[in-house]
Amino acid sequence: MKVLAALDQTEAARPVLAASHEIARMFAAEVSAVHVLQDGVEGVRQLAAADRVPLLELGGPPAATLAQTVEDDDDAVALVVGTRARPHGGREIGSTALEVVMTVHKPVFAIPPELPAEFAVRRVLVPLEGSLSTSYAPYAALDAPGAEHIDVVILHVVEEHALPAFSDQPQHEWETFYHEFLARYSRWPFEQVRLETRVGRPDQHILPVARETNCDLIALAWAQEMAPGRASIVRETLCRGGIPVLLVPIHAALEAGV
Amino acid sequence: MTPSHRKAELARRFDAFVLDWDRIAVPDWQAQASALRVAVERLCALAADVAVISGTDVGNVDPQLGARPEGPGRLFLCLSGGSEVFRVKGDGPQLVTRIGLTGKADSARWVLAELWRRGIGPGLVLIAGEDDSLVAVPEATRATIVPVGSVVALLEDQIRRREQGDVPSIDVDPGWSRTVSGVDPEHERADEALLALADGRIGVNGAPLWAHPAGEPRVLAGGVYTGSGPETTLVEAPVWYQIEGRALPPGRLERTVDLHTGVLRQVLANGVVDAEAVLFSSLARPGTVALRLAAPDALAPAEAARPAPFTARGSSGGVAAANVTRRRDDGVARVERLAAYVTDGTRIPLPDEAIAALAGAEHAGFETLLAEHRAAWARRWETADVIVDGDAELTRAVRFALFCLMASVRDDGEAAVGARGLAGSGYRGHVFWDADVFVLPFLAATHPPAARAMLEYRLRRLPAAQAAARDLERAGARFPWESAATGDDVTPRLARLPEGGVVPIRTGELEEHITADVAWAAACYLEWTGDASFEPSARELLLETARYWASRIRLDGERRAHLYGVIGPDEYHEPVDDNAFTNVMARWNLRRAAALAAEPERERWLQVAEALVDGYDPGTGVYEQFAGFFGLEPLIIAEVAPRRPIVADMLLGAERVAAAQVVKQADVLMLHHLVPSEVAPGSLGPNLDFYEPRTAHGSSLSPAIHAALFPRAGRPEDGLMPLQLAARLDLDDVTATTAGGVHLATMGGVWQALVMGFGGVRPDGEALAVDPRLPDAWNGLELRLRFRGVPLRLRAEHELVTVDADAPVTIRVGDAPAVNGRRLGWTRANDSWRVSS
Repeated sequence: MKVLAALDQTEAARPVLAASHEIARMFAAEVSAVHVLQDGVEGVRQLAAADRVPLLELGGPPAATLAQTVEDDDDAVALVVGTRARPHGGREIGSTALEVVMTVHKPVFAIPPELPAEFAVRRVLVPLEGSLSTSYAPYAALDAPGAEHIDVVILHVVEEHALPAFSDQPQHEWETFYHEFLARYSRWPFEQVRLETRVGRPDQHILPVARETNCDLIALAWAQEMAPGRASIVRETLCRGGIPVLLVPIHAALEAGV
Repeated sequence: MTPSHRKAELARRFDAFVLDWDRIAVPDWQAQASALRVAVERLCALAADVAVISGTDVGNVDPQLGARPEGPGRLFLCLSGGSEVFRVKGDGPQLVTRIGLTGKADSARWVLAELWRRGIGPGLVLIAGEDDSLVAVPEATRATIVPVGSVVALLEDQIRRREQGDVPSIDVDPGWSRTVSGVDPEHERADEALLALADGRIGVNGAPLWAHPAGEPRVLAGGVYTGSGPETTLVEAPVWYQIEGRALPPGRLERTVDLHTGVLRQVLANGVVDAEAVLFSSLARPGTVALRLAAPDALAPAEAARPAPFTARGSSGGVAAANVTRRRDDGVARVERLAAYVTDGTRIPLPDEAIAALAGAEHAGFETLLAEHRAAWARRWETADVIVDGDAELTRAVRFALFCLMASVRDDGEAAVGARGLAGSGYRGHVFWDADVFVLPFLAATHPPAARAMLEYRLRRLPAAQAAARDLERAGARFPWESAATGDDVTPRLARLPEGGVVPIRTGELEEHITADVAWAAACYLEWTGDASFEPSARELLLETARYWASRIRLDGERRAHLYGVIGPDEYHEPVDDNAFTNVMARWNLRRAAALAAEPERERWLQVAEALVDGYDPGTGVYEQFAGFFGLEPLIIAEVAPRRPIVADMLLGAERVAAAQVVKQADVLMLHHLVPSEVAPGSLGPNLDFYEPRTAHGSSLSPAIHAALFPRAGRPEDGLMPLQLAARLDLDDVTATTAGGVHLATMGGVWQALVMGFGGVRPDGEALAVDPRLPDAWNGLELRLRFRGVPLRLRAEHELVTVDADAPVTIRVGDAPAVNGRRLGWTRANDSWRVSS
């Protein structure tokens, strides 16, 4: 099995490669680098050589080429891309990264250029909206040999349209609610999981909770549509976070029989 | 019907047989009937009931049939054109009734009614006959009717089925059953709670017999706790019904609970593998559970077994359990499993006790256990059923609620009734005012021993309540907001909220109306039952709780009495002074106790009661919910919330809600429901108009109370929506927490809404007052109750009320004078009721 690290000639390449090693450890896989030729390749070659990872050099439109490469490679379990070229430079996700996450049908790890040097995945934030269609995808993506001891923080944000009708005795009601929520939508063992809840708009709570709970990774299941509502969650998480994000296409999980 | 359809229809076990004697059972009155006699006697020995119907008399039928069954099944002869019913035992026929039945149809009706009273629904009855007058009765609609053929062969086939251990059927009456098809991972745990069986001692949820990842099989021991303080929780007992080592295979699993008899049937069909089972938790022998299964080897227990008894220890009590599995193979694995649980909240039962209980169950055998269990449930429904004539779906929902209430409360010893019953472990089995105010009234009016057991729970914890009062340097008894094993307060002090963060919980410290609620429950029990043996205990409860209030009040400079720093039912505002509900309930408590007290307490309590402020404004007719409520932001939640019910503090924020006139649940209005004699006459309307739009109904306890009050205010149509909401709260899993157990208080509230609200039924001294106010959509409301020990059937229509009682009872309808009798009737004209019969 392999993890494909998409490297370019920018500052984003080094953290992408560093993260790829950690992600490969989780999946008990090897790292392979891939670069789509555009404006030189020497920097990428040196980076890959120094890290002793094989490098595949390709031509063509960057996003489409990366997507095709990862889809065609049956051994590729995930693609790792940088969200933008420079650390702290601008707030938008790069166009290549955006196109990649919207088209690749396998898990994509989006790595910010601000990635800490000592990156390790010890705790993952998994926002769940509370539906079966979206709940299992993150689990499927993280169901890896090296991920057994990862702490999971599930975040459920209660939106205004879904405010509960009743809360009889909050000291008991929410305990019961939390247990049932996890039973319905989490596939992790209870002892591995902690549930955090907030009220309001999900896009406003994901990053703050990730920071409060010291999560190293955020795992989002999504339908790969930049529809209103869903787009804001993905954009907000990718653009403003500074925390790596794992994007898991829902339909891919369904096709995998999850 | 084609022969193959007929064959399929008969290819199951029936539990009762009605035989048309004339030309069906026997070709003529001189024919030999020895084979029929043998079959009838054998069926009765196998616990099936048989009824023979004939136009001729016993002098012709009995000598020809000559059956002398020893039981446990019964043989009835309904003869002489329907005018006589005989029960035949070993010593011959004995007349049961001669009540002027006029034809075979009346005989059939009598038989079916008798079977129904024993838990044998028409769906379990096989009628061999073709006489239209016999088979066309409406009660036989779901029975299986066999017009012709060899009756003896039919009965012999049924004997064979019983002898080989066929799995019994259940009567799938749409008005009495609930079916869950398949296993939905998202809702499975809620479904398991909704399919739970209980007998007041243990609760068994409706998980599949075969393991499924989404399932959470569970057995809870009522009133047996483990842990301490807020961590106190119900003990989980060993799960007896899952087939070890067998996973649920692909296929359609259908689980159906029969609410009339408390039996759960599970059928698995996938075209290749068929398995069926019934299981029940015996209401006749609480703590005894039974399962019968027919399945292929791959879905059956590997072997027969009698494992060592199991003991689960709680903090002060425990559970001992023993079980046995028998297996026989004849091409199908036929399994019977019996288990006995002995539970005690104060000591650890010995394994030998469970072994002895199991031995008793084994001696009785599965058929007897099933028959007595069905009969026990059917007897309970005789004094508990409610029918909303005009809304079959609501009737079914109400029956589900009543089933859960009856199953959750034992009727001997003490009954600790947790907020979520025995269907789930939510709320940790802690006992709230839910039990005293919402659940007890139903049992006081239908099955007093269960209500008595609930009061016994409180009485045994009176010393703890007295100690709690002393700790606060007060007199009398102060009951805890949340109670469990010891009677000490077990309210958690913190809660983690969905908004994030942890907040302090002060209800254990400040929600003191529970003390008056316990006293109210004792009085409610006496009003419904007139149980003189309980009066000394009731007196003790009333006096001690009154002493607490008398020591709790503070007098101001004008000698007005106040209760400072409490939380009322509306928990959005805390703490408050002079909560109207707490003050008026305390006043009621003091006055009620004063009637039992000696001087000088009597005089003092009456003075204190008189001096207690209640926030009533005679100018507006509205009670101020607590001191300063009228000065809060006049926010009408009905106008700002996207819908109601809604958790208003999540919508608006706790701080805003606390500063506004937003009410969580019925608070002032609870007074009009619980103690209408303590509130100002005519004040219901103004308070309903004022408070209902301000009520978020953020507690599941609230809608049913409003449903009860709207009819009393002359607005029955407005009561329908909250009634439906309350009745379907768990069935629709509105809270997404039904997996943690059903909402017993809501269920009790539904009963109160129907009986006390729409029916206007309340004890009034020695009489039962009735004042129906029905919505237009209903044709009538039928109630089965027990008042002062007398079972009665009451039907209220818009302009007619009838009562049929087992003994003379005093009833007052509307403004008509009270009358005493067994069969009574009233009619209404020009808004006034008058006795008609």
